[in-house]
Amino acid sequence: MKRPPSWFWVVAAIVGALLFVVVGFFLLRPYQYHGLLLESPKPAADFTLVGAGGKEVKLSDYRGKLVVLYYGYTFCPDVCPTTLAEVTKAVQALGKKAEDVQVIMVTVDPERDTPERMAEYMAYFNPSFVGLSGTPDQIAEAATPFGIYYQKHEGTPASGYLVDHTATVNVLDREGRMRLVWPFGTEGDAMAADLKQMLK
Amino acid sequence: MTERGEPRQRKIHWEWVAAGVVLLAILSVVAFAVFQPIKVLPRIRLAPGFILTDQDGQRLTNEDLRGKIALYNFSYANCGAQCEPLNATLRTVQDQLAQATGEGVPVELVTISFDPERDTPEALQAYAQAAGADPSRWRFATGDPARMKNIIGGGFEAYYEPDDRGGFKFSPAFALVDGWGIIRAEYRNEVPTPERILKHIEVIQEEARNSKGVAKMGYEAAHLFLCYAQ
Repeated sequence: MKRPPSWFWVVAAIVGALLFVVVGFFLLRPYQYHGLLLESPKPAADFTLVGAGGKEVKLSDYRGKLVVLYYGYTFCPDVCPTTLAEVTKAVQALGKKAEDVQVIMVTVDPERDTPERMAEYMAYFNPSFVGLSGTPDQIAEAATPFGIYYQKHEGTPASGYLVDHTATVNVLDREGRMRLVWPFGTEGDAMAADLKQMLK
Repeated sequence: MTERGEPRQRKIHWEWVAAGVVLLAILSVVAFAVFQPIKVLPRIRLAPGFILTDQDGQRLTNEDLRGKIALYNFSYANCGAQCEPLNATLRTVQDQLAQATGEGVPVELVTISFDPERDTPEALQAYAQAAGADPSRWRFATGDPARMKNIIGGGFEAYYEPDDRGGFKFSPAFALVDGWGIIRAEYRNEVPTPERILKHIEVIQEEARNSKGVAKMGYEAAHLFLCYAQ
């Protein structure tokens, strides 16, 4: 059999090296978050709200865990249960690592959402999830720094009033710094992948 | 050539090839970080949530500005000469944006008043007119007095305080917020030039336009390597 000429090996080596670089780049490239990653490592504004049994709960109580922070309300007909179902899926996908993640929903409807009602509602998704309520002033102070808008508006006689609100989900790192924003519609798998990366 | 006339086979030193490839990869990363082929603005932090009322008595919330680039600044109708340079900057930005024909994310200017007690929609209307604002691009708004400190001071981190002459002590502050509600540039204790603001708006526009598919990787790398536009 005729040996390939020497230039063949040179070309093969160059093509091989280029392939190696391309494959290596794809394998070693930095993780791309599905959410929007904030670059400023400042601690998020702390807040004090009320949890189950009237217990005072601070956001900073959860330092050391990733906090998935969502704002919604228990009478919410569509957006909140859909988002919480995706968050639940993400937490389930984490398996044992879920112990290092705390999901919190702060109500934007403190009039109807008592701390007990919040706790009951959140437990329906996952017993580890925390629901928080408080006075209208406390809620406003807890919502503003996280870019959350909310406002009551008329619903139907069956639904009662509704509350328009920002539907993004925020993620804080273990040091309590606001790091990631998931726009509405982010799927559970994508959330799980982002959380796994943040837990590394 | 060997004695038998056959070409001698060269041995390939794979360790050198591997070292070359690694070196090439390192050089590419260093070149990206040094030459910064893509410029971005950092995602600094979330802009605050708010409900305000504008000069026409219309509700203005941060959700209304989702999907748009918003340039905020903070002043009050009775500010007088102190606010003229701020308003002149915003007016130039407004006029330049009106002339730009390129498609992109819409841009809105919002002046938030920290004097809600006196700045009724009528007062803001007069202030807007005096500042030369085009109401379709530049809105003036304020809200619940109990919430303003939380929004302006807490959320936008802009300093203001009532003085003893019925006015306010404050530092000029501007914030550029992207369509996701994230602060991308802040100009504090100085009045930025309109050119700088317009350049920053263009950087956000470009990222929104181009950061898709494979190019998104380049943009994310630019965030990672802090390739920030000045």
